[in-house]
Amino acid sequence: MEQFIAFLLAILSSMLIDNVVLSRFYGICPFLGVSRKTKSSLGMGIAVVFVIMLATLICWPLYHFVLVPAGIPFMDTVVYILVIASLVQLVGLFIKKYSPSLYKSLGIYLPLITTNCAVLGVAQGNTDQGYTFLQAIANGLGTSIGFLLIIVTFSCIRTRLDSANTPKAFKGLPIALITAAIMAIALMGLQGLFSGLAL
Amino acid sequence: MSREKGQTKANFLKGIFLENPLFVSILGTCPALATTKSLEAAIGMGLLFTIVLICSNVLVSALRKLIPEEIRTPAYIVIIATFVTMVKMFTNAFLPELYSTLGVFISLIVVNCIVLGRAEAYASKNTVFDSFIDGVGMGVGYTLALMLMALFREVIGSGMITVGNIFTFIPKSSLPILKCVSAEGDVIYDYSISLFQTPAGAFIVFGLILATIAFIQNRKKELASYRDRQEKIRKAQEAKEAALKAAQTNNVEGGNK
Amino acid sequence: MSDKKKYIITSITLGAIAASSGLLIGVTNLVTKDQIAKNEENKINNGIKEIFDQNTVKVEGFDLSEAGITGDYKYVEYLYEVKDENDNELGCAFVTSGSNNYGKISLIIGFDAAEKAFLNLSVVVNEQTYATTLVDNYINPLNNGKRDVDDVKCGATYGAKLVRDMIDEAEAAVEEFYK
Repeated sequence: MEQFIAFLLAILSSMLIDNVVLSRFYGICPFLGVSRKTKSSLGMGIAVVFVIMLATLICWPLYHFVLVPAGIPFMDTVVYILVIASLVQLVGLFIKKYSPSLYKSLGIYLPLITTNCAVLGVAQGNTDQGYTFLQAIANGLGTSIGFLLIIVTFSCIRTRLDSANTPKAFKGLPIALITAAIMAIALMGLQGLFSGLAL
Repeated sequence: MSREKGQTKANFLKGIFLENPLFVSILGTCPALATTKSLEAAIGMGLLFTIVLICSNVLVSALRKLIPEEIRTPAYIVIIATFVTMVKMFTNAFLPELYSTLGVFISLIVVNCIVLGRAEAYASKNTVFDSFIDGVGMGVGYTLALMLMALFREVIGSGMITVGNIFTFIPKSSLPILKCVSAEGDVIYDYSISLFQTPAGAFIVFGLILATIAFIQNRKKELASYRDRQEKIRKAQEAKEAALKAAQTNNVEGGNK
Repeated sequence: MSDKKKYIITSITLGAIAASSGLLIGVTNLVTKDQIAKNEENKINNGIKEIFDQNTVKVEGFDLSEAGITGDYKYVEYLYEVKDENDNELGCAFVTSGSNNYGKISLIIGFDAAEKAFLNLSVVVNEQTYATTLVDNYINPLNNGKRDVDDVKCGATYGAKLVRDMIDEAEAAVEEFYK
């Protein structure tokens, strides 16, 4: 039971307090680039959740059961990026074959995921930080759901910003960044939320 | 020859101003926000990034006729990841402080859109020399952009510029600007705003810089269109006057007849 | 060009690139390996000097089993016995490392020889998200004696909790060592 609670807390804290976009700065490019419309940001977010989870499930065992026994742990970055790139391709092919309608809505975001720092960042962090497999899964789940949450919320705000009366110089990206700053401040307020439970 | 020289110069400068990867193309934003807490970290990040970009540009351009079309992206990714791993190891060996400050963001140069973007868009189509210059220009442009952000964040956020923490071969010293600490460690005055050291501050600084750039561009555009309008009005006036004059002379001539 | 030939050329190119990449990284690893190990050793040495407040120390490293520590420890990894330049025994220092969901921490925890009591700790690796908060609010006050080890509510509570667990474990290990 205690283990389960720790697992849940780990997911929640890497989702909210240690949010991937607003506190760790992974995946800013899609955060700014694909958040114009709520629908597309939802698609991107779900695709990222999928790929991050798969990458976590593959890269962690690969590191601990192949790279370390083979004596080449320093090849990690190269191996991870290859795994991620081929995963993205495979997922694309798979979805295309079995659900063309889903491919239609998710397909265009898949190539963008290869260069999304969040995916490589999670895979690399899981082994760099010496996580156990359970911690790695919690990290992957929390990070990816945190990404989904923030990118969808942000896109909702942005659609309203478009019709707001912002100063001319701030139109578009600058006001979006200022909004992101305010969101980051809001999440800073959650710091220490679980400190009572940590004891 | 002189024309070629001018071209090289333009090729170099475009990365710094017209096509600045961070402020104009809005690429490579993750390290720009994460590693700009201090000026030294920003310089270090820019340096490592520039090295990787130049190496990958040169190699991709040298191999551009050998790599078949279908496997271009995976091949580029492997090349970039190789250079990043090498740079990472050298940093760990010779600048361990920089390595521990930047952490995972050194590995994340692999997925920096600028490097892959330049390989696909420029180096795969141009000569080795041109790609080299392009890499240098883009790298310097990116480094300068990071330094600008770090300057604001460090000065406002911590009140002073400190060097020697990361590049340990420089003696450790700090320049007080908004915050002054005496030799005994007493704070004499402190006007720093620590928000700028937090993630939120990074977003604010980036947003304000982009707004300033947009303001300058808008002003330029509006001034130009104003001048255009004035020019048009002046021309129309001139044409009118000329027509009037012509009509008058015609009239006069006609009257004479 | 037939399809088959094209595939062969493509795979050969990709294989060649991958092989040369592996080779380059391997060579770099050989070149930098010693320097990286030396850096780490320096870091630990400096940390020990800081803990015992000495300009020069003599250290001797032990694996846990060599030192006769047989308990089941999660964080404690290595032990150094520390003497000053005149061979007077100063104490011992444990290298510990662990990670929570905010990242990794690696510490050197120093113990006094005479009183077998916790002395100070020095940070080797701190990759926590709230790394500076942890150092400013917990580790530095702890080293200055202004904070209790069990008082972990400091704005980076999870990190502080991990540090506390490491210290507790090292205390158990030191008891076993001096037994």
